[in-house]
Formats: sequence, C-alpha cells, structure tokens
Amino acid sequence: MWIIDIFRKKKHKNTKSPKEEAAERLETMLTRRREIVKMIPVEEFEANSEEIKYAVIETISRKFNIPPEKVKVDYHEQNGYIVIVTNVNFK
Amino acid sequence: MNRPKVFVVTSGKGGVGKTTFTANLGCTLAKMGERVCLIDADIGLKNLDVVLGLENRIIYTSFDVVNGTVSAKEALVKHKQLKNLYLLAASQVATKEMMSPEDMKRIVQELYDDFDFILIDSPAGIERGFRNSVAPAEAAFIVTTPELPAISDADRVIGLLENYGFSEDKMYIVLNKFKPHMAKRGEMLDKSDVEKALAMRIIGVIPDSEEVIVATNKGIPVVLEDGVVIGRSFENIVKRIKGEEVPIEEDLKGVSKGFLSSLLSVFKKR
Repeated sequence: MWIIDIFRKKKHKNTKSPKEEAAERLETMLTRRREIVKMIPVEEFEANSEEIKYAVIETISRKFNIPPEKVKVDYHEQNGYIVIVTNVNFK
Repeated sequence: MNRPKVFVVTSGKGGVGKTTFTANLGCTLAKMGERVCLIDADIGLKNLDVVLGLENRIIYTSFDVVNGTVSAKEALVKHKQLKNLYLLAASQVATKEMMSPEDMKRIVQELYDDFDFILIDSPAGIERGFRNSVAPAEAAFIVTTPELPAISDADRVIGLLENYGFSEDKMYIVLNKFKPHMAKRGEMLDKSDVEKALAMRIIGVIPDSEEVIVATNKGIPVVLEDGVVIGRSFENIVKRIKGEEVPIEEDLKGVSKGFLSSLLSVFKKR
C-alpha cells in the first residue's frame, strides 16, 4: 500500500511557478502598507493622544474583524513626530 | 522644469548593489562629459572608494569637512582615469551619528555650483545615515533586486521618501542583478511584476554580471572596461534621466546568450 501512497502524494504537487508564488506573496506583503504610513505632529498628538489611540484601535479592530482588546497601540517620538506602532494579535 | 542635480542612491536593504550602481553611474556620466561628484554617506562602513580604486588616495573625509579641518572642495579626490569625476570619501572611524542632515546639506551646498551631478551613496537601513543622505537630495534612485525582501524594503523606502516630500517623478526605481533567463523560465519576478508591486516605473534594468565582481576586485568600475554589455544599461539610465525616451528592453539587449554564443565564449576564455 505504501507504494500507492507515494504516487498519490505526487498528484498533490504544487503547480505554481516560483515567479507566481513570489508575485502572490509580494502582493500580500505590500497591500495596504503605504496607506498605513501616516505622520501626526507632536502638538496634535499631545492634545488628543487618548482619542487618537482609541481611534486607531477602533479602526484596526473593525478592519480585521477582531475585538479591540487584541490590538495594542504604542508610540514613540522621532524627529518631532509621533510614530504610532500597532500590534495585532490574530490568535 | 530643471532636471534634478543631487541624487541619493538608496534601497533599504543591504547588498542590492547601491555602491556599485553609484560608482558605475558616476563613471558613465563622467564619460559622457558631465562634471560628477560622488559622496559616500556610509560612514563607518565606507566602500565607494574601494569600488572606484581610490582607497589609497584618501587624505580627508566628509568628517574633516564637518569638523572644519578642510573645505568640501579640498577633501575631494579626483578619479585616476576620469578627470571630471570626484569622490568625497566617508570616514571609517567616525559613526553615522557624528553627522547630521544639516551637515550633509551644507557639504552639498558648497559643491553644488561646481558639478552637473552629485550622487550620494546612502547606507542600508532607514536610520540616521539614510536621513543624512536624503536631506540634500532633489531626487532618488531606489535600487532593488527581483527578490521579495529587497522589493519589500524598497516599498518601505518609497513610503518614507514620500513623507520627506519626494514626488513620484523624482523617484527612480533601478532593477539590479536581473537574470533574464530565470525570468523567462518563470523562476524569478520580472520587470513588470516589480513595477506592479511598487506602483512605479522602472528607470533601468541592470543584468546580473560576473564582470562586476571581477571589475570591483580590480578597483575599476565595470563600465570602464572594454566590451562590457552592462555598460549599455547605465548609458540608457543616463539618457532617461535626461528626458530621452529609450525602451527598457534596450537594457537587456545582448544579455541572453544563445547556445552558439555560449559555446563560442567558452573557447574565447581559453
């Protein structure tokens, strides 16, 4: 029987070419990336920091259809701008 | 509209060929009669002088200019063969944090009127060295290879450059180390895949070439060697940035060898 199994496995071989697979992965990697890059001036962030953080959590939670507590928002200052870093736990 | 004069050569990812591209583009421009200045912004890990074969002629670096020891013009090193090509070398002992974007702007300002083209070789990454290199630039070459990590980093760099105020017509994508035979067999992404992913036009395709390794080890940029196919890609890039319409297919002419020419080249080598 194991001899038959060997032939069966061959039938399930991936038929995508390396180029097609790379193009697919690239699309997944790059989709929506650039629209996420936004810079908020420090003054604006200081005045509304909690509301902005909550808005980010709400947007991501809606976009990925996950509960808000699965989204973590952190931030740091860079060149006078606040860079917002978001971590999403999909599990 | 005036064409840009100060270009940064960047990529995000390391090892894609920024320094080799900078050296060869600089040599091509100089061969065409332009006055060219190359600035190595990879402080601490400088290599542009090595690729140009000028490592033994460096007396002053950009760090000496920042310290006020010499002027930017005094720190320049002239190329051995091309008398209108100059290099401002980077220090090996300093760090990128010892220079600021303002320092770089001042250096470029001092050299601006004496040159037709100023090319800044940026270090890999998106930290201080990248910001220093981008600060004085009017346009950017984004070098990538047809591999996912390089394209992904190029996309990130494009996003950052947009934030720095670079418009799409001031960002030029260069597809380096391209292997036409692999793309033909469907084993590698081709030009159109990269253009689609980055949503930007490619300014030039540079085929992968063993001649680059040989030339770099000799300290002679490959475009200065006789009968090198790759030189055409650089000439075409120069024509395109000057506004000339040259089909991108021209870059790969004579690269794909047929069976007969491959066989002949084996005998030639002997």
